[in-house]
Amino acid sequence: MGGAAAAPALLKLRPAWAQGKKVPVGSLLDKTGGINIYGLPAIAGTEFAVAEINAKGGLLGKQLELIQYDTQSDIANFPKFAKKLILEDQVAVIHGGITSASRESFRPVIDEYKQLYFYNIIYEGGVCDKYVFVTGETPTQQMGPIAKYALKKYGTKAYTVAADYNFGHISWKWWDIFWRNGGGLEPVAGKKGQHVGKVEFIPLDVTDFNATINRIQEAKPDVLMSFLVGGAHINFYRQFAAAGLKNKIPIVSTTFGFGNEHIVLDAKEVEGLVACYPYFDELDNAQNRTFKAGMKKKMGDPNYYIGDAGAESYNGWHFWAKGVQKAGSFEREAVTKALESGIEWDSPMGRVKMDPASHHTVFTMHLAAVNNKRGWNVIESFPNIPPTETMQLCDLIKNPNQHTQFQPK
Amino acid sequence: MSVDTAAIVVLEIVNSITILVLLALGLALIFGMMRIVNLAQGEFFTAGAFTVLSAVRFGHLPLWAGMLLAPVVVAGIGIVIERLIIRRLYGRPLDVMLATWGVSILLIGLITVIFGAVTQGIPFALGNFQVGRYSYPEYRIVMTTVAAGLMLGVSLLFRYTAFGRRARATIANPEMASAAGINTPRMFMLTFGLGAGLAGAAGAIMAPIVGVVPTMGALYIARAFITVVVGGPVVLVGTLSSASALGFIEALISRFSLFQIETAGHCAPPPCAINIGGSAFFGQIALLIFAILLLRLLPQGISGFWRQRR
Repeated sequence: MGGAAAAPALLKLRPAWAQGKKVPVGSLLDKTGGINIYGLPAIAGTEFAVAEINAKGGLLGKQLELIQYDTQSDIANFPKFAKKLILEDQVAVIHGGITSASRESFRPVIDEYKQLYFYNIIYEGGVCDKYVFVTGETPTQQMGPIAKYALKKYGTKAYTVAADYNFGHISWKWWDIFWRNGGGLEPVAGKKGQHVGKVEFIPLDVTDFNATINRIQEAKPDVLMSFLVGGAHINFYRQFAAAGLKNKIPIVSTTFGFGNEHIVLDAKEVEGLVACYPYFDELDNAQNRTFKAGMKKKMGDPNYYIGDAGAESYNGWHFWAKGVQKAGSFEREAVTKALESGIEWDSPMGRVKMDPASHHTVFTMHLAAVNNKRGWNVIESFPNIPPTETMQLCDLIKNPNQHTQFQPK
Repeated sequence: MSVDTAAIVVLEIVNSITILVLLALGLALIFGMMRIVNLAQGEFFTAGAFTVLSAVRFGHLPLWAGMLLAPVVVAGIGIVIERLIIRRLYGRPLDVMLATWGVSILLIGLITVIFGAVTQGIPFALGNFQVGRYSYPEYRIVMTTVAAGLMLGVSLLFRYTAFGRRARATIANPEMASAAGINTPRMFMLTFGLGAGLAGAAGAIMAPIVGVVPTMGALYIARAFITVVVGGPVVLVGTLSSASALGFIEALISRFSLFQIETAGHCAPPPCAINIGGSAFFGQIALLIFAILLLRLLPQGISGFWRQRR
């Protein structure tokens, strides 16, 4: 008997939760290896959110039992541990996955077993899957503001470096559209961007960027777009600064900072680098003050910087909790229906809203530059930016049987 | 090609060779001379980087002092490991491989427990110089100088000192050396320590340009082994010739695209094509293919080939 045929029988067994006092919930994040620059803050946000939910009495009168597996920055671990969470631990929900390669490695498992799943991190957009909810930002939310700012401030010639896997390749396709359209999916008023040199895709284990940096100098761009990912790629920024380019070629990025790269690197290496996220620790609102104080206490470090990855994991768990409360059930179908009613709430990043049709999140985005105090200065904020590129392709209410990822042709 | 581009390509090639020499030198002693497949060599490199990090961050020492300290500390670690584990396993190559693999995991674990699994950095303050249109970091030149210095030092040590002669005798024929009154266990221990110390020095000198993280050794160990195997049995000549050959190919293919393959799909600016060559990805592939070719043609490695011909 195949797995697909076995799944419904297993699902019937599931209401084991219904009797127990505890509800098992699962998290798959990279605690070790090159991707743990994102994994560690995401784990902190996860543990904090679950502890917070439990401290307030849990959900539907039950405490959550958080089951975490360290996926060790190794793609092979994701399908393996996802199956373990589903079949053995019988979790009500899975959160996690960091690189898009890891997500796509176990999304088939999620679909096979019809498992509710939250992906809580910035990515290249386009995932359209009835079982998947995304609380991370997508190309429109980041690249729109970044492209407009870079065109106005720096100039029209861009060079692009990207991580060599699905995230980097698909991000590059979207970036090409946004850049050449002047910051929109369709051409918008104002200056339009162009590319100098060829986009460069760099494997995740490359640590020496000497030749890349020289090629960038040859192309003489007005601005450099970075889709670099992971611990090894942090070296790029250091080597770029060491070549004396920091004040010559400004860098913009959709990835720099959500792994707290600005803490690892020195201000003199990356001050002024511009990124766009829905969350920075510097945001001033009541929820964020409570969140920051709690996280600093949990980590035992008054200088702990949470960053986007930590805040999005935290938000993912609370989105799910709100869905469960509204549904009055842990069952996937009921929770999905509740989340598709358009849940919105005041999170540490301000008002966030789950878009019912695309299962993606609408945020206020903040364009910010690295400052010299291991933090960020917000330049401009853009309220309620929807993940348009995904929304215009994906309607899971009309087509509930979709389990795909869209990308530009 | 303009003059400044030619100059920068030469610098890139020199840089590639430098990194391979730094990675391979210690391993060449341990694997090339002692025939020990030391899978913990990457962690000796990591330990060197963390020694610098600790010296700078916690000891508040200047960077150069930390870099001098690193080989000493790591040589010490190497000697302890040799005393406790390796010396019980001489002549048992598979067991020693398994044991050093265990040591590698243990060292990663220990370093993670002490320093955490986070990526850390060591900022440094050297400037850069201008090559025509390009500005190039001075630190790369420092790295090359250090690599050359280490090669020269090891060469002088083995050729002109009593220790070097005894070590060579021990490795060539341990029984005869022992009969001649050489304390051979001590020689093995010191040679292993020296190999570890050189890896520590490499980790220290590369720490400022790479992210320092407990698992960093894994990123370098394969290249180190490839360089040593291609180099063959003669430690210095082998390391230098194979690092030069592989580094040259890697830098050249990383830099220049060989040809284009037309593709369908989205790309800008059109027409759609994939460049073969001209990126770090193809540089890595070229290094591996070239290494396989060399080993197919020269199974004893480059230096083994020359020794046979003589």
